[in-house]
Amino acid sequence: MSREREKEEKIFQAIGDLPEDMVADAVNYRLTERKPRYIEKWILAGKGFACAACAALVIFWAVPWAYNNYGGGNQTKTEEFSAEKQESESGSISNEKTYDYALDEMKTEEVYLCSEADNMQESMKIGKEVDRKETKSAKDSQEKAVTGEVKKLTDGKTVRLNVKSVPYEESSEGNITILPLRIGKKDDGVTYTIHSEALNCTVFSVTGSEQERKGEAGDAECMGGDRIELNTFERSEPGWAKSPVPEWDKKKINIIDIIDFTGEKEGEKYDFGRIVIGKKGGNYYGMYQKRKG
Amino acid sequence: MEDEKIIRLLLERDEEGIVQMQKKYNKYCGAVARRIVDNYEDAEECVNDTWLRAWNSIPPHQPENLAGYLAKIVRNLSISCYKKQHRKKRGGDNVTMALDELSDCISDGKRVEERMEQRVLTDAIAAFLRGKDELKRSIFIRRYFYLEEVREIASHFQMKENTVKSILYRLRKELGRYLQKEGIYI
Repeated sequence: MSREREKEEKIFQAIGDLPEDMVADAVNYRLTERKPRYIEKWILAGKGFACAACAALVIFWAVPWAYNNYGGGNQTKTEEFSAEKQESESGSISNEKTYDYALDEMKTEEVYLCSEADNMQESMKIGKEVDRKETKSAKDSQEKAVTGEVKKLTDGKTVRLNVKSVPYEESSEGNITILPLRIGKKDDGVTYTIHSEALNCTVFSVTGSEQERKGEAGDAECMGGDRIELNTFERSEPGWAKSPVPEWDKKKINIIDIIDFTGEKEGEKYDFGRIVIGKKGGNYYGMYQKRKG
Repeated sequence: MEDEKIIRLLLERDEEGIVQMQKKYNKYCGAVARRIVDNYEDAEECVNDTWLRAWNSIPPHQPENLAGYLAKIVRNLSISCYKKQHRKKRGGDNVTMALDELSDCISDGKRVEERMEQRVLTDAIAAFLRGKDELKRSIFIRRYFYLEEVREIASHFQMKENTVKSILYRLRKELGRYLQKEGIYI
């Protein structure tokens, strides 16, 4: 062993013989709480501030938002959201199996259909009405009116229909809910015929190129671009041999009527298909099903 | 169980003393041994030998601090084990191996003067360390008695590794000067 090594060994052994209390104390020694440095104080303060900001965000924004959307704070929004979600999950609905009524010698075309939004004045009026009614019950207020943007009805897609509340003397509540729709485009030269199969959503009024007509007809004629309004009396509980929209069974949307659309242009007859109208809670849903040729 | 009770049991030759000692200090002694020897089995063996040596040495010895006493035993045993391992690794032939084995049955062979020198050196180091603050003393002992790595020490005391290294460097230099001043030349 070299001389250097021997020296090192000696010191190493001497350290090994240090008093027992000193050896034990070295293990047990813990630093007393270190005084944080200046920059650390700022970091700590920053962390505290960030935590407080997050907590405030959760309390004042996230919680009310979640309550409004999921917690029953706004039931209309909740239902709309869940319906749209389910729709997006199910995707476009094929109606090959469900839509098999007899083919005539008609051409099959797709018709422009949309759920009409009320005009501003009506919206405001109805909005006020809703505000008043909200205190009564949530269901009543939903039945009164939801106005919004124009929603186009496309083949196989479930759309929540805009509704409008109008005064009606024959109704016990004084108001009825109607479904405003627009059929075809202006000056498309087609004469449309509307037919309610279950007579629950009969034609309440037709407004457009010709003079406004009101009534309660199972069938009505109109021109392209006309606005038609369907009432929602639900006189009968229709039974369908085969569910027109099986997907709605899962969503528990009750089918109340089917509105067929046919048309005529320059002697040629067209079958445009139909709208299946359903109801869930106070909301109305529609699905346009194009006639498969 | 408190250390005093364990020591009393050992002094009374009650085997419960060993059981309680193992229960309380098994992890502690294992940690010391594992820092020195390379493999787990050898460390375990060192720890087991520690209980035996403590049993054989108490009485007559009556340690004031059981933890420190056991730490010293396990450290010395582990260092012996480490030396044996490294001799083998260096390609010890049959003769070296036989001599190593025979070293177990002779005394440590140190002369009285050597023992005295060792004692004086230990006392000087102890006195030097007592003159230092507790943090520096702990760092020194952790590094050179328990053989902890600088990284571990730094993490334990929430310091940078370089800070620990520089503290150790200064302490070594100061110790060298102190020993010279005390007239201890190694």
